[in-house]
Amino acid sequence: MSSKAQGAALAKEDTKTEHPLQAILLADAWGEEQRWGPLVRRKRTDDEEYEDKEVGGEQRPWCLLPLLDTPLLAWTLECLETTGVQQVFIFVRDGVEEVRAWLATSAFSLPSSPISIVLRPTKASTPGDVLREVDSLQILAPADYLVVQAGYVGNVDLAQKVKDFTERRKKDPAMTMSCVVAPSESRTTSTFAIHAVSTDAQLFHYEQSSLFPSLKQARLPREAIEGGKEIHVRADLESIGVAICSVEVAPLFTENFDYQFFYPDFVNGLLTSDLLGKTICCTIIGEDETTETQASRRSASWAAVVGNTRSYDAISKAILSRKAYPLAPDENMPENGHRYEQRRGRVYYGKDLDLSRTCAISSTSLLGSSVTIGASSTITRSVLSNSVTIGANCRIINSYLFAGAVVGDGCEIRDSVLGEGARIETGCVVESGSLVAAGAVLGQGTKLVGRRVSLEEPVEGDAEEEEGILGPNSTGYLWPAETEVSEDSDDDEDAPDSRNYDVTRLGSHLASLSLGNSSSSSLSTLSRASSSSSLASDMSDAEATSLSNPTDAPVIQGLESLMPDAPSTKQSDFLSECRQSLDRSFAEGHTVDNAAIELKTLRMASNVPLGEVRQFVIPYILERCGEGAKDASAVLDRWGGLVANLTGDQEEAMEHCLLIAQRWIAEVWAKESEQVDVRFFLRVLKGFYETDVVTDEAAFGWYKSTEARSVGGEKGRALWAGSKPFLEAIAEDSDDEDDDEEDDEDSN
Amino acid sequence: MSLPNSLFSMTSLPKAQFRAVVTCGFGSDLYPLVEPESAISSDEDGETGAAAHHPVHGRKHGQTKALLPVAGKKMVDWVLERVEEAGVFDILVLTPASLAAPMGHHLRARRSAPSTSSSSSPTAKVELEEVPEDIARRGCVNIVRWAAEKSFIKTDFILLPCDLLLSPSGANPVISLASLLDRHRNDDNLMTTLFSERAAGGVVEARKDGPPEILTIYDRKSSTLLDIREMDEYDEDEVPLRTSLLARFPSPTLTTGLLPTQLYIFSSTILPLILSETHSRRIRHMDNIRDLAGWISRLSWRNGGRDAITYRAKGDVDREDGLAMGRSTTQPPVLGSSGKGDAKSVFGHESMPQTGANTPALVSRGSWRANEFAGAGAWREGSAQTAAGKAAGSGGCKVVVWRAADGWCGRGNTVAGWVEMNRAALKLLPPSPPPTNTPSGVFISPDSFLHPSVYPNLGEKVGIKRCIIGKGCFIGKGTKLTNVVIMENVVIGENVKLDNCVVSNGVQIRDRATLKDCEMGRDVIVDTDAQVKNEQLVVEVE
Repeated sequence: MSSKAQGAALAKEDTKTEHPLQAILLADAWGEEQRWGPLVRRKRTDDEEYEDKEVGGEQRPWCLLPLLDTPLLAWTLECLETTGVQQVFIFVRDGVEEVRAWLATSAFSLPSSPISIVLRPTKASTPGDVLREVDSLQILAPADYLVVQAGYVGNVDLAQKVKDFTERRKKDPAMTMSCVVAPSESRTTSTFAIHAVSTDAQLFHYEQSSLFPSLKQARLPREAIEGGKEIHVRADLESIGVAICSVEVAPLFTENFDYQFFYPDFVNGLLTSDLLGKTICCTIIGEDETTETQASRRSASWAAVVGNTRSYDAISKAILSRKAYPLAPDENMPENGHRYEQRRGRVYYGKDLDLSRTCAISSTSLLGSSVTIGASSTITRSVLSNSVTIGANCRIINSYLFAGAVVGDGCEIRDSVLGEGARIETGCVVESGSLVAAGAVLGQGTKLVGRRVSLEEPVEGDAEEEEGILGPNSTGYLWPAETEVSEDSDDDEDAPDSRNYDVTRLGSHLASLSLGNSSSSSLSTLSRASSSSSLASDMSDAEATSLSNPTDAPVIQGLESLMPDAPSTKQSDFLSECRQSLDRSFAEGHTVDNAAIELKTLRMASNVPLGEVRQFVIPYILERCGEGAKDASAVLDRWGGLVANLTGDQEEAMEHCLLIAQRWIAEVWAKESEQVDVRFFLRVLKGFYETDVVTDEAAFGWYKSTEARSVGGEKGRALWAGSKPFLEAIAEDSDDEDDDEEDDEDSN
Repeated sequence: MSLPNSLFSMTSLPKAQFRAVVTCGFGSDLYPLVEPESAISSDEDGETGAAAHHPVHGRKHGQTKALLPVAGKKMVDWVLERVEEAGVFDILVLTPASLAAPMGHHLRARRSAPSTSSSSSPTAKVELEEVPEDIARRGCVNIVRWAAEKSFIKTDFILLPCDLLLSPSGANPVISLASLLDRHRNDDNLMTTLFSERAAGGVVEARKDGPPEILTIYDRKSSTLLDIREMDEYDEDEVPLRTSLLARFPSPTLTTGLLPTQLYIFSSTILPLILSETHSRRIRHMDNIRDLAGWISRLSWRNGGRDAITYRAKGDVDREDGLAMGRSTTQPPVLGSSGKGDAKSVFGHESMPQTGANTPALVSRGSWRANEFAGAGAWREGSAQTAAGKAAGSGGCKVVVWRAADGWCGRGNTVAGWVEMNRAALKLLPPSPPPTNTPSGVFISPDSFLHPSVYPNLGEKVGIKRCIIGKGCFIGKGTKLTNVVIMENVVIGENVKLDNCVVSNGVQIRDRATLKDCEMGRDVIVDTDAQVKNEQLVVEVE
């Protein structure tokens, strides 16, 4: 054998070990499809059969939702193909048949396609399930691979990122995964995520919470900072739906069967586990360009993932603004789709347009082929798919009209999505994130504000009283508003704050909320929500929801809400036991410590939160004050310590105590004495302060909180106002060395 | 000393924008080089039997921290030179009353014999103020507050300690005091401060005895300082970070790898804050300027914190614009109120080249407003809007980071720091001519510094490696010195071996002594044949 042949053989050996770049594509949206209402197929429970009848686009699986007239799946596959992914496993749960049918006709299934696609129907309901399935199927080559969420769009060279990760893994074998994240300019998800990364992009800490109620403090592990280290805390990073995984990831999902999502289950599971000893790094898109050799060749990297209507909007606009170049409507569309013609101001025209001479198309819009637009209509920042017809004198602003939609004369469509073939009769107004199903008809003069119209009957069937909204000759049913559904359907404890929906809906203007340039007013709502929510953490859930939403329920649902609401017999048992125990203590003159221990035992036995005990004990003690102000000092001097035991040194709990007392005096006591007894309240305040029930900070916090002003109506407010001199006196004495808490309350 | 100024007639020269405030502390961490105040005074009491106001007079070589020799100069001189280099000639030295006498003496001597610094700048006007002892003991913040109360500080000011040394590595340093001042002025900052990487001070290894771990939070993009705290403040395993910070600065950097240099440039808007009654309690309890800086920087992102500082009145910005526009040839002349004759002379001046030397950069904004600017043209109205927009973006507390690559940066507030400072200062000295009159067999490594007066006092076969030796020292023959810093008037006998030692003024080391890792206080006498390792030697005081 000649040396040359030998060399060739060796080279062959080398190529053999090189595995094709593989990707797992998750076609389902894991709940995000709910946000699309009638435009995609709704998620059913397992025993619920899909209806056979064809109801417009409502049977469309989420991943086939058109983005600039091309299904999301096509965008994602195109992005993967251009980055050099050779094999894709698409895991589909919903609408397998539709996806298969679409794939069969798409360019990706042509023999010339460089990407091989395997469609795998699955029953997985979370990404974690998919990875467990991947692990059991053993379909992957032993190399690093990508897990990609359908809806991912971007021009990032993922193959290069995978190579970088592989290199990094050689140096640090504990490195298990790389989260691909990108700095977001405007917030499109309702998740507030904090990544703490080291200078070499290793992830040390991840924390997430919903926007509302938001986190008050992030807690970073000390060891990540100590000893001269430097970390960057990033609150501006969003996941773009891609993770670079090593071979260890899938087995880890199998071992920890409770991991459902990458964020936060898997990431936090790995970061906080001392046993696993695994590390995670972050690949931050668009920031490490200078180190890349391709930097000069490419324009800046950009990537994002479509989820809710808001991110759909953001990504559509980004593609139209050529951020995803070379993917651009006039140069490259997925599947070599037809090209558009670019005009001034980022406006793209398809073929065979029928535009009136007096219509105006402006700024970041796209018109598909055969679009017809009537006289004096204006189209701004909107996408009109093929064969859309717009009448005269219409205004289409920031909206998405799918193929074949028809809009009559004099309509205004703003911040909304119209399904295929939807027909809007003359004089309609559709705005604020309304979604109209394919084939639905809105009769003349319909006014939709943030509503959804479907051809299907809503499951809950409670739309009858709002019949008046849809104009005459409408086809379709009005669905209940998004927020109502979510609050009705979910249990109280999971009930997401409706503001989270509001900010992630198309058309909501988040400018005041987006991070970085938030105005003080939005900050104050944020911080108020946060402070009251932590206050609620000790209370019952019913109360928590009412408190965390001060605008909805300005009055704290204190005693009334709790006692009659306490549904379980356990709690009423607890209350009666509590009463007996306190009666005994008062009658027999137990020490505070003993009484406290007794209460604690009771509380533990019936598993009642501290807040509820306070709700009971404070009024009980106040009742014992006999003639009010006169006896208050003595009683509180004797029994104040009992209340102090119930605060757990939490400032929120202390404020809660004051609220309870304020409310009780304003409502219960005032009924008996028929006057606002400020003196009594001052004695109580003083008593609380002297027996260390409340600290200075808590007292100030209470005074500054909105609840303090509203609890107990007019009388409560009088008490609040009356307490001012006392607080001023405390302020004189106290040393406000550490003003942290105070400052945050200032915002109220 | 005044600068030629093209915009103003010489009679109405504006006062300087910046005043440099140099604080001199007791140097309590420099034991045994600096003896504790109490020891000195009690000693003094014994000798004179009177209330001691000038405790150092009694003993010949009493040491004050600010006057410790550093590579042949006094410590404070290095700072003063830096300030002068930056073009600030209005310097206020604050020193505790008990140390005022030696300081005053030194500063007077310095004035009569101008410094050897290469800059040909005119000598600065250095004022010395005695800080009452009880205030001085309560820390730097209280000293500044006192000075502001007494109206010693009315303008923007540079606050710097007497023990800071910046020794840039390159010939053209990226960071200098002048560049910091420019930055402060351009951005119209509330506070500008310099932090250094730990490594830049050569104290990485010595973290245990070195400065405490400081958590610094800053925003890299805008270099805004967000918080400074000691790591010891957090007693748990977690470090909390407020989301109100993240809301304003979504990508802060948290690091413990930085140390504050305690060099701060404050805007005059900070003065009402320091003096205000509402914050007096808080401020009285701060013992370190770092606490003040941390508090001020927190105000920038705290909810409602901005209200605490009237961040910038619109008028400020107008003035800035006016300053800039004053150089414009297309804008109407600025001196609206001062009449045509003056304006003419202004134009006469304007043909002069606007070099750095005669740019009225160090002009107090306040004086602009009061004197010349009262009747400025109507174009100011138009600029007000843009100014308001600008106000949102700039300002605030900015931090500049001195990387290890920038050179040495550190403080001489510990013995180790002082030794490092000496070495770093060597690089700043002009190369000295090689000695000619040394006895035979003497070896002096090039990274050593000997005061010229020492060369004749060397014995034969003396070996000196990496040493700094002050004036008036005698070194006996056969003595080997490695890594030693020796102050002044030290007498070392024959065949002595010193390794890694610090030797204070007036020490005598007798023949054949061997010392390693020792620190000697002043006037210590080490006996012949002594073998000492790793000890602090001081003269016992009753």
